[in-house]
Amino acid sequence: MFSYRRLCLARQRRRLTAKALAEAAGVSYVTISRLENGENPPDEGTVTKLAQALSYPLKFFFQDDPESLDVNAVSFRSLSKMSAKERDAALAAGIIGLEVAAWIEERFILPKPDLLDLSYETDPEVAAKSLRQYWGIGEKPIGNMIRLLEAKGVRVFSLSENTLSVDAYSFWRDDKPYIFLNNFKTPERSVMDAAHELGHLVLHKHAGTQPSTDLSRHAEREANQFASAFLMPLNDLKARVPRRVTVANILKAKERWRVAATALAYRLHVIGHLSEWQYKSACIELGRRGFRAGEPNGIERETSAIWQKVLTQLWVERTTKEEIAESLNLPLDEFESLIWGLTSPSHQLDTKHNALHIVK
Amino acid sequence: MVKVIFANVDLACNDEQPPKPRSRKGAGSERACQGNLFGVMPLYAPRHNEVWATYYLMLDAEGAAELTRPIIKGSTFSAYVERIYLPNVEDVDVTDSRKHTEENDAVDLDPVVARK
Repeated sequence: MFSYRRLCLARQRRRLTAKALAEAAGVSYVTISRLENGENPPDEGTVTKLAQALSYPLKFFFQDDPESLDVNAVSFRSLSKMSAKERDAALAAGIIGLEVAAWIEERFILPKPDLLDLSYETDPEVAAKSLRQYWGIGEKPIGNMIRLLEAKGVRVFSLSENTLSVDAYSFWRDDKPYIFLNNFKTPERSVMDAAHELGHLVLHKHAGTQPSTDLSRHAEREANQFASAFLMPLNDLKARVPRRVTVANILKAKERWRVAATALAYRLHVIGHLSEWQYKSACIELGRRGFRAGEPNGIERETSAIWQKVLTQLWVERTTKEEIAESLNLPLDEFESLIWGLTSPSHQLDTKHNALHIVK
Repeated sequence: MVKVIFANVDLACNDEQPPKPRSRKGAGSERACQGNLFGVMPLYAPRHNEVWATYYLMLDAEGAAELTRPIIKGSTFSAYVERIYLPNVEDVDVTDSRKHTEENDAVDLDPVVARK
C-alpha cells in the first residue's frame, strides 16, 4: 500500500517544497497535496513520476509508514538559526537512520546501551564525573569519542547536511540512544558535538527540548558544560597544564584532550586557570592564528568502528553498499550520507566518484 | 627579608659554569652581598646587619634566568649561597610533570560487533 508519509519524508530529504516537487515530476500541485494528506491513493504512473523526480526507489513508497520523530523529542542545537526546511531534512535523515539501524540490528549484534540516567543531577560537572566513574575510565582523555559512544551502545550516524546551522542532534527511541553528527565541522568540533549530545542523552532523557525557550537554552548550556567537563576532566587538566598558561601551552595541551584550542582556553577560564583578561587575550591571539574559524594542525577525523566492521563483514560476504541500499529500499546516496565520514577512507573512496560529473 | 637586584650575566642556569656579571660590581654591591657562606647551617648568634638577603635576577643573552644569591668579591660573583633556576614557561612541556605515567593513556574502546 502506498504510504503518503513516505512521500512526505522523501520530499523533505530532497529539500523540495510540494510545489517544487510537482514541477519536477510534472504533476499538479493539488495531486501532491492530496497524496500527502492521504486523501486518495495515487495511480501507478504518478508514483513512478514522483519516485523518479525524487530519485527514490519505487519500493520505498510501498512500505509501512515510517516512524515519526517529534521535533520536541529531539535535542537540536541552535534550532532558532535553522530554517524549517533544514530542520525537516535533518529530522527526515533521523527517521531514515532509524530504519538503517533496524536493518543492521536484524543482522548484527551490536553493543547494548550502557548509559546512566542523570536527569536528577543538577551539576553537569558532577554528571560528567559520575558517567566517567560508571564507565570506569577515570580521568583519562578520550582517545576516540565515536568509538566510545558506540561501545556504550549509542548508535552514531552522520548528518550530511552541508550547513553550519545543523550541528548534531540526539534522541532516545525504544530505549536506544541515537546521535546524528554533522561531519562538515572540524574533527575537534565533531568530538565536542558528540560529547554535547551525550550530555543531552544522559541529562535530558525525559525532557525534550522545546525550541527557543529558557528551558532549552538551559539544557544547551548544561550539555555544553557536560561536554567540556567530560572531555577535559578537572584533575587531569589541573595536573598537566602549568599554572601560568600561555597560548603556546594551550596549543600543545589541546592535543592531549583532542579538543579545539578555544574550547580548552574556555575550560581553563572556567576552572580559574585563566583570568577574564587572560582568557580574552588568549582568544584574540588564537583568533589571529586562525583557531576561531578552523583548527590548524588538528586531529584526524574520528571514524565509526561499528560501520567499519559491518561494512567489512558484508563486503567479505560479497554484499556491496548498493545491495545494502537496495535491500533497505533507499537510494544509495541517502544511505551513504548517513555513514559518510564515519567510515574509513577506503570506504569513502566509492562515495567520491558520485561527485564526479561527465564533462563532454 | 629579601632584596632583588637585576643583573645581566654571561650564562644563566648552567650547572657547569656559574654566572658572572657583565658589568663590574662595586663596593656597594659587595657590602649588600656579604652573605653567610654557611647559609644552611643554624646560626646561634645572628648578626643584625644580615637581615637583608640580596638576590640577583640574573638574565643571560639567551633569555635564561635565575634568581641567585651570590657573594661578591673582586668586582664579580665569587660564590653562590643559593641558585634558583627560573624555567621559561614557553619551554615547559605540558606533559612534563607526569612523564612517569604512560604517555598514551587515552581511553580507546573497541565496540564489539557480531554477525547474527
